[in-house]
Amino acid sequence: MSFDITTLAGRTAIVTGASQGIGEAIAEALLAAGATVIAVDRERAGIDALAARRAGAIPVQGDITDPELTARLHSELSKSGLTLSILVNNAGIGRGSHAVETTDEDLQRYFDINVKGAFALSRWGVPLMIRAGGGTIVNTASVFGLVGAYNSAAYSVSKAAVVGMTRQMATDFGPSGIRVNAVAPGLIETSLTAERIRSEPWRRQIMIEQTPLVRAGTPLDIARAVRFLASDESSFVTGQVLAVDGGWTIGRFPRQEPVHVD
Amino acid sequence: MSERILQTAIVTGAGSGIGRAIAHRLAEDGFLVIVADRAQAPAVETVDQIVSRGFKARSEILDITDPVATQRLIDGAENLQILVNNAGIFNVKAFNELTVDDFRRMYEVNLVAMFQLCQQAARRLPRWGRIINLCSRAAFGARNYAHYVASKAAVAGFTKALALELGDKQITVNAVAPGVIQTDMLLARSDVHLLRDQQPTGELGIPEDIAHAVAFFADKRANFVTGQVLIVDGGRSVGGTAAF
Repeated sequence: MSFDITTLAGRTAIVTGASQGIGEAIAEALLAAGATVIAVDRERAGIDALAARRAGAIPVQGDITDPELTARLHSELSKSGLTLSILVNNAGIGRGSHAVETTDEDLQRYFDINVKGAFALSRWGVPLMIRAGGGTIVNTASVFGLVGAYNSAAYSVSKAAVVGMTRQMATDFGPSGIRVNAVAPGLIETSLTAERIRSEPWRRQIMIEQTPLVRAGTPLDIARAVRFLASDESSFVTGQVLAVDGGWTIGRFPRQEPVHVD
Repeated sequence: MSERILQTAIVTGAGSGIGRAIAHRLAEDGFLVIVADRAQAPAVETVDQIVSRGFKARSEILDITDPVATQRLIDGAENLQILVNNAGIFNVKAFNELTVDDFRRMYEVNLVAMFQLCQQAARRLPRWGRIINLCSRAAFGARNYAHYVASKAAVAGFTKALALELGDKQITVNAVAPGVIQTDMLLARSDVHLLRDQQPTGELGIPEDIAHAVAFFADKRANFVTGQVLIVDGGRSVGGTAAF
């Protein structure tokens, strides 16, 4: 019996939204496990810095809503003689919006970035993975896609779609040996959430109070879950959404002393 | 290598199948594993396998439905960090033939004994302690063993409730829900070919698949994951069948 399969040596991963926050931590974790990582982001600075400090990181600047992105990724893979086996659809946007104030344009924009971008990359990437003999997709969903969240209409709807996409693609691609899973981060301290918290200062405090572990998480917490789902350690896991949220989705109840009823 | 205090993991039902694989994996991750089982010979065999690979384990023979024995098990575990509630029973019986005694027996082993061990362990677990319960894909519905399904659904609910109550101590409580896993017990079933055909990839899981998931939750660094029930079933429960 041997369990030495945590390594990702020899594998190539694409991580979108890799310039900062959760995406950057995912890229770092996959690199640390031995993978080559094509780090994709709209912003140049973060992915260039990653490539400068880490051997095995290849920066590709691009927007996941750009239909030309897959062609660029394709040429990057063939230029370096790499075979895709891990795709991490992490890029996304998020900020507060009440359902009443959410416009059709908002919905379209969230759908284009958070859902369609990941869908298109998966549709492109899966045949490459099949040719390589198998692969795995990990999507970044959100706890807001699992349960209702106040003042978060467009984002919640788009992340619920990511959850549905994960389960659906797991069924379509399972027979071809492609696993599809998602992580659902809870309150994670990143620059993106810091910006959101500045506009909604109440949200952080409330979420922490509602979290059984009474604190926020870090990008590394998400990165470790992604590494598990990307590796052969999870080879019998597909179609699953793993919440990494300090228990927030199960525990949104006021903290209180037990009430004894005779 | 610097000397560090060895931390202990208890794995119940570790004499065979999934429990044995979990014991191997946690030993490999650096824990002293207490292989707890009802039957002596298989428990000793698990320990011998682990020790021969250069890792640390010892056996404890007990019936987990005996609260005095489980208290002794917990008290004897120095630096207890992880409790894996894997021991359980399973049998097939159609709803019409199930008796109240069948139901009680299933609950006594799969749920009440687990509760007892969790309560005894929780008093001893340090901050960053870990409890991992073995649930089942069947918790979400299956034919011909309603008592087992109900007991495992209860495990899922219990896991979430316990995660809430132990959160303040930073103890995480999670569950792994295996699908069809290739154990000796399963391979003895006459309908094993049907089970295989129903898998999206045509492959059954292996005990190591479950061990890896347990190890993920057991890792001290997985400290923001609690109250989760991870289904490890090759995608069967998300509706995936190869062709229809």
